[in-house]
Amino acid sequence: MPYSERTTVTEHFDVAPLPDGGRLLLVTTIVEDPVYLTGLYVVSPHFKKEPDGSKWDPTPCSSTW
Amino acid sequence: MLIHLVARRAAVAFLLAVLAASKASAQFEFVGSWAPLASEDVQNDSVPVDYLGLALTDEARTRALSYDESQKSMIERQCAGWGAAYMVLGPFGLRVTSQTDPVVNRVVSFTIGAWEDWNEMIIWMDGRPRPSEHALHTQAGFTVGRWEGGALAARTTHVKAGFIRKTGVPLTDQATIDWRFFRHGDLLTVLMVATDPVYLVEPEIVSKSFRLSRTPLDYRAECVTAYEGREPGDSVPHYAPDQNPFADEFVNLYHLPREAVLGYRETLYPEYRKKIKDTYVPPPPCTSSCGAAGNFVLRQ
Repeated sequence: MPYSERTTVTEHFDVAPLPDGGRLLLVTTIVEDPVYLTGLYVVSPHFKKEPDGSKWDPTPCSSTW
Repeated sequence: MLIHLVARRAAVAFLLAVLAASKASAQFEFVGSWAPLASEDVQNDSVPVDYLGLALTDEARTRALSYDESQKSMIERQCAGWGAAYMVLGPFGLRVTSQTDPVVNRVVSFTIGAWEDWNEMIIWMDGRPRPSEHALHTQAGFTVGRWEGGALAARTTHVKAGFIRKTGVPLTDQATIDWRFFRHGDLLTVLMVATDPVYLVEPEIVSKSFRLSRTPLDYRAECVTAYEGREPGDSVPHYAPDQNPFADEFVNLYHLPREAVLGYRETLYPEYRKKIKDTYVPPPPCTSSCGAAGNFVLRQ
């Protein structure tokens, strides 16, 4: 599914509490592309806040044959 | 002296106007028709046994596996409708109206209009207390809302026992559903957090966006029963939980471990991918008829 160089992406970040005291981050993302899309492409996934950054362990991208 | 009095009154009036504007900016226009967007599908009902994203108790898993969707073909169940959670799990849009107290000119409630298979939901905004826990439980439940941080927050209690997925994953009448409605321009994003002390180990969380419709939406329709193959008085269709013929359909389709499909808590989080990555063998690429059903048939 392609997108063109004329694409715009708008993101809205909202925070909501959880019953156990945790927090959710809700990201509403709107993609508009006059070339490949005839309407809005919208997704609104949510993320649960971690207590700390100990699970954050990005690794370099490597390519293989 | 008179000039000072007029100036003071003008200052007070200006201050009140600023405060009112500030209060108004923390709210948004909720009333209107909100159309569903095809880019989000959160129904998770394409196969009968797909409990991905749910953290179920053993009791819930057992009940879900005993569910036969033919139950909805029974005359006495065809118009039972779905519970409050169906607001985001169903395919329809939201038609929101408000009711105002004419004496104090304040919004008393918002009403999200009914669909053919979903009862209207009233969100009480006047701070009224919840009824007794022994009061009538309904499909829509009892919902109280308030404006909070630029969002409309609401909580639903007093629901009937029902389902959290159309495929038969159950929810008890002790469930609570917390809602947040966020508006950004012409978009309304609805966040649902459902908790159930009996059937859910962790809340079921669903978020879905709607777009303001210039054309009023109206999904009201009379539910009419019809013969769908079940005679009145027939037994309720069901499976023995360990003999559900669809239990392995999703498993076979994506080569997933059975536990990944059956709603175990650890499968909610990314760490579960690390656990199965060394043993997981993806299915072969689909070459033709690649819809879900076609995939299933081809990979049998």
